[in-house]
Formats: sequence, C-alpha cells, structure tokens
Amino acid sequence: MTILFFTLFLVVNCSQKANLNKDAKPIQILVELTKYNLFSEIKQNILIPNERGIPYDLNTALFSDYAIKERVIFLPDSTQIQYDSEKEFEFPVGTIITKTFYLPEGFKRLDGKLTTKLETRVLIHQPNGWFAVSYVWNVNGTEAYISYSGENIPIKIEKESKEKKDFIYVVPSRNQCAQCHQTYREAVQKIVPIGPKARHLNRDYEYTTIKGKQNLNQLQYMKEKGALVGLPFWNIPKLPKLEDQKETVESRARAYLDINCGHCHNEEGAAGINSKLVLTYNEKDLGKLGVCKTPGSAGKGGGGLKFDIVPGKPEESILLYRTATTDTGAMMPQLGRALTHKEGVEILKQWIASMEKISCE
Amino acid sequence: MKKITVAVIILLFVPYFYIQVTRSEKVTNPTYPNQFLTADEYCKEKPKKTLSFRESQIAELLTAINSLEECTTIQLAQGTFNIPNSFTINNIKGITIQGAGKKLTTLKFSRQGNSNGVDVEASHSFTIRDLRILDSAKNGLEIRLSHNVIIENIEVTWSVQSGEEMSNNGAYGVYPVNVTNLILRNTDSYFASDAGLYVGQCVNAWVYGNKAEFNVMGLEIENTINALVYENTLTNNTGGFLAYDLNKNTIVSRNVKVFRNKIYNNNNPNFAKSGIVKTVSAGVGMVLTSTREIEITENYFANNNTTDIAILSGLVAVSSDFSSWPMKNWRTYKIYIHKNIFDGGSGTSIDNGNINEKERPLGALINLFHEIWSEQQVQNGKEKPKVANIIYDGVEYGKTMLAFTTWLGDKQGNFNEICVKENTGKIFPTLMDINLVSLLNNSENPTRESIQRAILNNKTVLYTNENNYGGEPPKGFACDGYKFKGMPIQLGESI
Repeated sequence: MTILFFTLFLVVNCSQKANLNKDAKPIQILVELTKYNLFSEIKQNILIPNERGIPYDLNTALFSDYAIKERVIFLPDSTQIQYDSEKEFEFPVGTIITKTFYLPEGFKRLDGKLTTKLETRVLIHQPNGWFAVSYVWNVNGTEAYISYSGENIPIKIEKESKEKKDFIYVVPSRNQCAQCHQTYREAVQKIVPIGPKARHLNRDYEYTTIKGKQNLNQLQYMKEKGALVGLPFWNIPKLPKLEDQKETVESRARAYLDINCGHCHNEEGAAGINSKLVLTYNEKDLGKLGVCKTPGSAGKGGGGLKFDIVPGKPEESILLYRTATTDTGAMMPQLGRALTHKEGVEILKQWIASMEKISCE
Repeated sequence: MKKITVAVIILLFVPYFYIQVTRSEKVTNPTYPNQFLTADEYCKEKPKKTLSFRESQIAELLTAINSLEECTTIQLAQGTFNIPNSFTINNIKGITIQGAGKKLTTLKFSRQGNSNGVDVEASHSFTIRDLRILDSAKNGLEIRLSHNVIIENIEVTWSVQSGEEMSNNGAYGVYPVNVTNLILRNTDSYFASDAGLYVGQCVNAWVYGNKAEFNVMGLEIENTINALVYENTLTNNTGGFLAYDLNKNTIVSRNVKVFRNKIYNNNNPNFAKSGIVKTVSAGVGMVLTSTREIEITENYFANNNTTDIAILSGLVAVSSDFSSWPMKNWRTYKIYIHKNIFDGGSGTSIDNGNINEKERPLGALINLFHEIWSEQQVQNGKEKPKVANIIYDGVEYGKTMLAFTTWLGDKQGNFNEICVKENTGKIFPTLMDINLVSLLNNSENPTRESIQRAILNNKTVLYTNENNYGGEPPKGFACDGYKFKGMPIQLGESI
C-alpha cells in the first residue's frame, strides 16, 4: 500500500512540476532585437522565429487598432511552462515572449518607413520578475531598436470610414507596458504576461511540423513538445472567438471584456481596486460587472450617463460609451487604442441589449 | 388605544432593525506604514543618482524615466519641456522629480497624448516638486497605489481659460488616488474641468497651503481616512470644497479636519462636461455629502452666491428624483462646524440666478423652496431673506423608511449629529433645516403645493441668532460635535 502511494506520489510529482529555471542568471537587455538570436528569417515584412520559438494565438485578442499580431514564446533549454487553469502560466526564468505588430492592409504609415512591422513588444523573465519593453523597427524592417520612451507613428487609412480615420499609432513606453501588465496580487506589485492563460490559448494553431502544416491544439502541442507541464486531461477553460457565430453573444462579450479589460479590471488590478468594476470572464457578481453600478470617479469619462451597464439599454451604458468613443479622457482601454473596434463594440452592444430590461434607478 | 400604540411601536421596530442591518456602513481598518518614509529618508543609506535635463533633451529624459534605478533624482532645468505622450513613473522607489520652480519649469503636454500628464503608479517614497504641468489631455498629475508621496510647489493649468472649449480641459489637476501617506502642499490648480485638487481613496493625507481657482470644483476629499486639510485658498471655482464618498468603495471616509481655509467667491459658471460635478450649482462654498466625522473650524467663508455650506444626504446627490432613491442609505453625519468666520455676502443668488433644472436639479430645488419661503416671509411682513449660510437637507432615513411612514420621517431634528457652534465674523451664519422629507409629496417629488404645506406647518426651520440653532440635540444643532482624533503617524521635522 505504502509503495503504491509512493509510486502515485512520484508519478504525480514528476508529471506536475515544471523546471522553472529559478537559479538562472539575468538576461542582458540588448539594444538590438536581432542580437537575442530569436529569429531565423528577418525581412522587410517577415519575421520568422527560430526552431526554439513556439508561435501561438489567442481565442479573442486585445484590440490594437487593427494591427496584426504574431506572438512567440522562447523557452530556455530543458525548461517547461507550468500550467494554471485560471492565472497566467508560470514561465521559467529566461523565457522571452515576443509580440510583433504589423500594419494591416489599407493602412499606410506616414513616417517614411517601408516595413509593415511597427514594433515588437518583448517580455523577458528575469530572476527578479518580468521585464517589459518594446523594440521599434527600422526603415527596411531589418533591425528593431529598444525604445524605452515609446514612439508615435502617424498612420493614414486609405478608405476612411466612421470607425477608421487617420490616427497616431502609439508604441508604449516601458512604464506604459507595465501599466497594463502589472498586478497587485497579495498587495505586491508584479509584472505578468496577460495572454498566456489556459482560456485564451485553448485553440488550434497551424504549426509547421515534420509532417507538414498541421492544425493542432496549442496546449496539446506545447505539452507534446515537452514545453508545458501540468495540463489536465479535461476541464481546460476555453473562451470563444469574438467572431464565432456559433457561440452565444454573452460568452463572446465576456471573452472580449476579459482580454481587453480584465488585465486592469480585476480584483488585483489597478482599475479593479480604484473603480470596483471587475470585468474578468468568471465574475459572477452583476454589480461588480457593472450592472446598475454607478462609476467610481469616472469624472468626464461617464459621458453624462449614470450607470456602467443599464440592462437592455446599451445606449445608456457607460461601458459601451467608453469602449466605443475615441474622446480623449473617456476612451477605454486607456492605452493602446486610437480607433473604435467596430466588431468588439457591436458584440458588447448586442450583449447589453439582450439583457432583461430593468430600471437601475 | 394604548394597545394600538404599542402595536405600532413594535411594528416600527421591524423596519428599524431591517434598516440597521441592511444599511449599516462598513468601517474599514486599512494598514499603513508606521512612518512617513520620504524619498530622502528612504534613500539615506542607498546609492543615489541625479540626472539633469534641459528642455532640448526630451528623448533622453523620456528614456531616463522609463529606465530608472531607485533613488534617482530627475532634475529639470528652467524652460518648457514638450512631452509628446505622457510622463510616466512606474514601480520604482525613492524617485524625486525636481524642477527649477513652479513658474520656471513647464512640462507641456498635448491633447494628442490622450493620457494623464505626469502619471505615477506603484512608486513608493516619491516626491515631485517645483514645476508646472500644462495642457494635459487627462489629469495633470495622477498618482496611484503608492506610499509616502510628497507633491509640493506644483502648478497645474491649461491654456484654454475661457469659452466652451474649457470643458475639454483635463478633468483633475492633481489626482492622488489610493495613496497611503500623502503630503500635498503649496500646489496650485487652475481651469480643471472637474476638481482642481483631488484626494481620493487615500489614508493619512496632509493637504495644506494649496490654491484652487477657476476649476469646476476647487478641492475634493473623497473616500479618505485621516486628513488634515488646512490653509488652502479656494476661490473663483463653481464650488469651493467637496467632501464626498463613492458608494461601495472599501475606503469609507472618516476623521477629517478642515481648518483655516479661505473659501470665498466661488461663483464661476459650471463648465464640466460630465460627472457628478456637472450637477453642482455655481456659488457653493462647501458641499458635504455621504460623508462623516469631519471637523470644520477656523475657516473663512464669504460671497458664495448660493450658500456657504450645504450638508446633503448622498441620496440627494445621486438622484434628485426622490421617488427613485436607491436602497442604500448614504448618510451625512458627525459634522462639527465651529469657530469659523462668516463674513456675509453669500446666499444672494442661487446658481447666479441661472437656474437649470435638468443639469443642476439641486440648485433648482433649493431655488423653488427659497422662492416659496421668501413669499411667506414677505407676506408675514418680514424682509426678503437670503439663502441660509448653512443648508441642511435634514434627511435621516432613506426611501424604505419613507414608504413605511411619513410621520416619522419628516420630524425636525438632528439625528445626524450635525453641530454648529461659536462661529464669528461680520454676520451670524444662519442655518436652514429644510427637512426635505417633509417637502415630498407622499414620497414623490416635491411640488409647489407640498413645499407650501410643509413651510406653513413649520416643518422647515430657519435658525437665526435668536433661537440659537434650536438648542441641543436631538431637537437642535447647538452642540459639541465630532472632534478630530489626530493623525495616527507624525511627520518628522525634516518633512
């Protein structure tokens, strides 16, 4: 019996604990992105990770002025990611996560650069925590340089519409990176990745394998590659894709709020702490979610409206107003958006409209 | 008959207990560092660094503030620094931002930035001094979730100083929120489209020697525990001073002393775009609403056209549609107004005579009430009165109590522990207990008739010199009220 338990313990123990590389030395922060040797092919509009890189997508992603984003995780040799069902995964020290932003079609940059690559945001897991900064690409997209202070890139839109007007694309400063990436878990400030959570990663990706291109579940792929430890056989949370018509409006709206707002609007985020509005996917308290909730010092952000969400009345809901407007001082999220996300706002509108009408007064 | 009385009394206990249980306010006990560890103190034994910048070195400056090591002083020379986006400090201890003087070093922002001017988060032992913040798109200086913060000798202002465009100025001048241990001193704010100086969700705040002029609200203390607010000058704003609590916030205001402030001439038209301050009538010296434990003493009040002090239930602030008062009772209580100087000239013209029922309903209601009150006074052969210096709405209970009984709700009296005593100055500060509940028309919104009826039945009372605020509580207001309990930590001499 004892032996059986011991064996069980061993099995569980061996299969559950990742090598998080805790004794690793810090990575030197470099001025040029290519010097980290993460990419095997770097051309004007192309950036291909080397064989160490694990590319991934999210079910529903943060809206960044319609920029196209390529995300890659680079792990140190013989280390693994530790799975978590709710929080962001635990990554080994020495992990580098990159996210490269490309201009979409129909958008033209006015700063004279030829590349469609705008920036590559980098998260580096140092022994004392995550370091976040962005690298900005040069004229031909052959090198990106570290930008502590961020940058403004004027963009022209070929076919303007109500939602799409010429705008300034803002590369965040290092401190602005932190504003979205920080949490106050157990009252201690910490920088954490936002996207790599089970519910966002639980989807297929077209990987290039020895068998050619294959659509594989990202989490299974990482597990099979030996990069992810602790993945359960069932009960892995999954959020829908924003555009997936087969899913309910509510679940898509909640997924959208989770990834676009939940990093700040959670119990341990700055906005959640200050305003008491909590927009994470599993928040069950309707009051915290904004239903008939008067805002916490929204000031002029409230647009003259009284409640965050008035069920059945999207036009009277501050939540919809602030996610749709491009008015300075009112728009949400506060960083990383200059345009209105038509598709996202539409889902939020449908969701609020579908709620049973009640009076908040 | 006796049996019926006993039954009624017993029956009344049921709603009474219901209200006690459902409406009782939570008292939070926040933790805070046991000393005010300023940047200088924190960095005493640590390696220190000073980086100096001229106005031509914007790129270098922005790189520096985004790659700070702890205990760095950023020194900004005389001149105008054009900041393209935001000036941010994040998660770093012992930082000092030092200009050459509040008229000499300017950080100039633009609307394009779409962000706060100087934006600080999670940076303990932080000091900013001697500079000007101009034209920030949002708040001038915002500091979040930090301990031991000193803001001194700063000016926050906007270039648009007249006309409708003013409503596009940033909302708040100085905006520390969730700061534990805060000194805000010798700082001026002008032309903010919400409050010039705001202290919110803070614990242990010293706010003194500041000036707020030409803002919508001058100085606002919100959800803050332990605050000394003194020697501030609040003039030419729409409203001078506001103490207010947001509903459902875990930091519930208490223990605030407001003294030796000058609060006069706050008569500027309201230019807020939205938010609660948009509903403030011009000409209000001080508004106290859904707050408690405030000692107000040795302040100077004069020439505030609507009134010097308004004490209002948070219910009134939330909705002037009285039939729709929310369940949660937002009492305003334990207010002690004593030894202040009232020099008169106030209460001459509610909202400057520019009544707007839709946008500023409270001013409109006070105006309607005052009209009817004045008519009756004149009919009784008295002079047309001014609006009282202190207006108290007399709301002690919320909607449910109203629904149960009107006769209990509309009694005059002082269950909120409002005390007014020993004030001096050129005039005797009059106190009007409006007793708003009695104005309501069967729990619905007041009408001209219901107001007339209430006044005729002496439900509302104006206290002047002769009757000495109606005597002692529970009937009157002449009492020793809430005494400030002191600050839990002391400032060292070097601070």
